[in-house]
Amino acid sequence: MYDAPTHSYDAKRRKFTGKERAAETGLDYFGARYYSNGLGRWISADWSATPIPVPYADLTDPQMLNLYGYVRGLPTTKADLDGHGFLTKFKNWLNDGGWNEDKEAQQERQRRFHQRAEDARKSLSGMKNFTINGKTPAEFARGATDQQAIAGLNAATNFVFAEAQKNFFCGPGVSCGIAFPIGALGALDADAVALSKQLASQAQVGELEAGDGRIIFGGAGANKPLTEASRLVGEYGGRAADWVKISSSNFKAADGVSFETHAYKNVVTGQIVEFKTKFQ
Amino acid sequence: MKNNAKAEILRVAAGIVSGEMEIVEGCRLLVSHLGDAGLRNDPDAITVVGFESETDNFPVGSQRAYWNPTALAAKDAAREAYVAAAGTAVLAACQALMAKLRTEIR
Repeated sequence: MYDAPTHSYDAKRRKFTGKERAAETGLDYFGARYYSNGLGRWISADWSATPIPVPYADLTDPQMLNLYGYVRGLPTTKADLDGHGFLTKFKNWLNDGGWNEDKEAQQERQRRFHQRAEDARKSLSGMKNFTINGKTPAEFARGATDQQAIAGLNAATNFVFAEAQKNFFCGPGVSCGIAFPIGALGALDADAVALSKQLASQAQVGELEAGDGRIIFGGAGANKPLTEASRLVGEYGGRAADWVKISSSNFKAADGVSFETHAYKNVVTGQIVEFKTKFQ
Repeated sequence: MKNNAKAEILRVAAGIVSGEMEIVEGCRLLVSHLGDAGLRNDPDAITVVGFESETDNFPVGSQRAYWNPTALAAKDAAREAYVAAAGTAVLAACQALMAKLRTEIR
């Protein structure tokens, strides 16, 4: 029987990159996944790398796009089991030698699974300063089955990222940052840097929405007009003088990349629109 | 590094003020050095950051070669109009930065 991995963490050995935990601005954004009209963007990455507008439709056959069509109007001789024309696909699969392909596909799946387990063992071997089921990650990796190695890496990664999120700091006058337990991620340090950027970006948006951004251009002053003031008025309302450009605090990642978030704000209504990341 | 960044800001700001450097392109260069120079919170630097953010959709430098000539002409006309409206504030900010940095670098 396989026991799910559990973790313990030695607080004395946790060595963060310093900095006290500041105002927890933006923490509500962790884990969120939504599209914001105000932001004009997805808050988290889309899990589909390639958007497919009508994935099951044969775009050369106009009937496939008819939302009111069911088995081409012939319900007595045809059926659609899953709404995607399952029977037609099943027949095509048999005609194309689907059984033989399946054996090969199965072997390929097994090979990939084993390779994934090998990669997981390698990653676990580089992790330290915490335990999995009472063992160091490297010890756990050595004695683990393929399934255990993959599950162990997933659990360990989630655990370390959760620990890092507890040490998130960001606020007015404090650059956004995230501290990972040193060495805990081992081979995954590049992932940690990428995640720190993602979290900082989300926190910067939170900072602006909380009203902590600073005005950097525009407003009532006649000598700092916005390039698109009239468009903003047309799209979102208000007067040209009501709109300003605001900026979040700056974040510098461990790899030296530095960025902040800019947006437009209506100082009368408080509406904030058109966020963008500015690399510097 | 800090002094190198400050010297570069001084050089670019002087170029913008004298007209030797195009103001939109110059501000992009300035912004890239503000962090290293420790000037991110300087009010004059913030004016430059704001102007650069407002003008980052205008094609400058080598990227201009990839633009359709008609679209590029429209962008250039918009840029000229915007620089005429907002450029004075940026020139004043550049002069103020130069005055501060000359004192510091000495």
